[in-house]
Amino acid sequence: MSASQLSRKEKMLVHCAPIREERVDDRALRMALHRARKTAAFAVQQNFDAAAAALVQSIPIPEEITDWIPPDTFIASRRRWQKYAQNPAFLATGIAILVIAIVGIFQLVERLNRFPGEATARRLLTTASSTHSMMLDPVKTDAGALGDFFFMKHRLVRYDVPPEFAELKTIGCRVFDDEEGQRVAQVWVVEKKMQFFLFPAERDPRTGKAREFSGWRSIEQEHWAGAVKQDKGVCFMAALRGSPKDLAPYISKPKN
Amino acid sequence: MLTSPRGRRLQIRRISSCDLREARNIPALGKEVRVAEEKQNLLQLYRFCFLMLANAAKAQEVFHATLREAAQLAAGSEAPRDRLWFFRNARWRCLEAGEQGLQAEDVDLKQDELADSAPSQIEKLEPQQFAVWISGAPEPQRTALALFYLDEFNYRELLSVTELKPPELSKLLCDGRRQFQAWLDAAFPATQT
Repeated sequence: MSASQLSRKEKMLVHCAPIREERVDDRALRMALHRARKTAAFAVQQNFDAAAAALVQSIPIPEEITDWIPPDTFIASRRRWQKYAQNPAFLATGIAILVIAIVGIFQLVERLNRFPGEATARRLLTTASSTHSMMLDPVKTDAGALGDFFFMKHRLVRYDVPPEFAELKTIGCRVFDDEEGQRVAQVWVVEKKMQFFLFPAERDPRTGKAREFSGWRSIEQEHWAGAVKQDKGVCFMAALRGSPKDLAPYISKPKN
Repeated sequence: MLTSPRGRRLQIRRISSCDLREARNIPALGKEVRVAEEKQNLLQLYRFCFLMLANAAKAQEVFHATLREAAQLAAGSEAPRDRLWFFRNARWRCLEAGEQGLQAEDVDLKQDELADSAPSQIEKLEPQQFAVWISGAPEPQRTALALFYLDEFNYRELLSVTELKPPELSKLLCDGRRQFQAWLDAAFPATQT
């Protein structure tokens, strides 16, 4: 085999061939050398380089240096993080920690968003998605006026629509028992075909006291969004088909 | 003054004993600068400086200055990140030291094909002669040849220290070999070998 049979890239690599075999740590270079070893020119080059390298190793070291630095003194590289990162064990551990951290953060955020009565609110969101306005008793009034209606007709205490939604016009309403036997009031309003739900707040089984939370909490489920608020042991949820952004203008309104 | 085969005059200046004392007092320099998987004989750094400058005193000065800086960095908890740092640092110091003398002219030197007899021709040389020949090469060929013949670096490391692209390094080494062969042929004609 002649040197001319090597490709241009192989020739380029062969010219840089390290003198010692153990210095060859590049795959392309190793392949090029494998092919080049069949050529006479490469053998001449290797002999030439080996002789020159031997000459360099014979450069005398001044006594001033050898006195100060013993011949077995080495420079060694500090292990860089890239080297650790390339280690499969470190890589696998790193990925596992990353995944655990992501899941942990996700669960933490989810837990922070949880509130007492969330399970009931989600169930009622499903109810909202399957309810038709025809199923409710027609009532045309302001939503804020229904608190008295629920008290008078169904003896539901404090089932009041919050001031943020009190001025909205209603189409109909109904009262029903949910799966857990809780009395739920449902109101349908004209605006954005929104539905309101009023239901008892979750209670502590030991003390029987309502578990409280402050402000509005958002939930989202199957293209339906809800904004939930608790007041004096009764939860109110405004639900509509859309995203929590659609409810944001209402709940950000200042209270009257 | 020495005159290199490339017509470059080299100035010689002795390192002061004060400099050496200062370097010797550096506390961080022990028997082992650091030992890990990739290690490199520290004395090769001196040989590199010698090849770059062809002057023992200057090489010693650059060697000490490089170690002094490494020790100072280590003392400030900023130890050099890799072993190539020593060679990069020494390279720039050598180039700076080389700037004080006359510069090599960029001339097209005669090139000969590598001969089978080259090893026997090289055997007749003194290390100083080889160093003078390498130190007379223009940059970056000088650095490429000095590092390559130190036989301490792999291909990637050579590219990293010389800051060259693969085709550039390849051409410089190939031309260097042929130019050195031509010089050998002139210094030791066939009848002598």
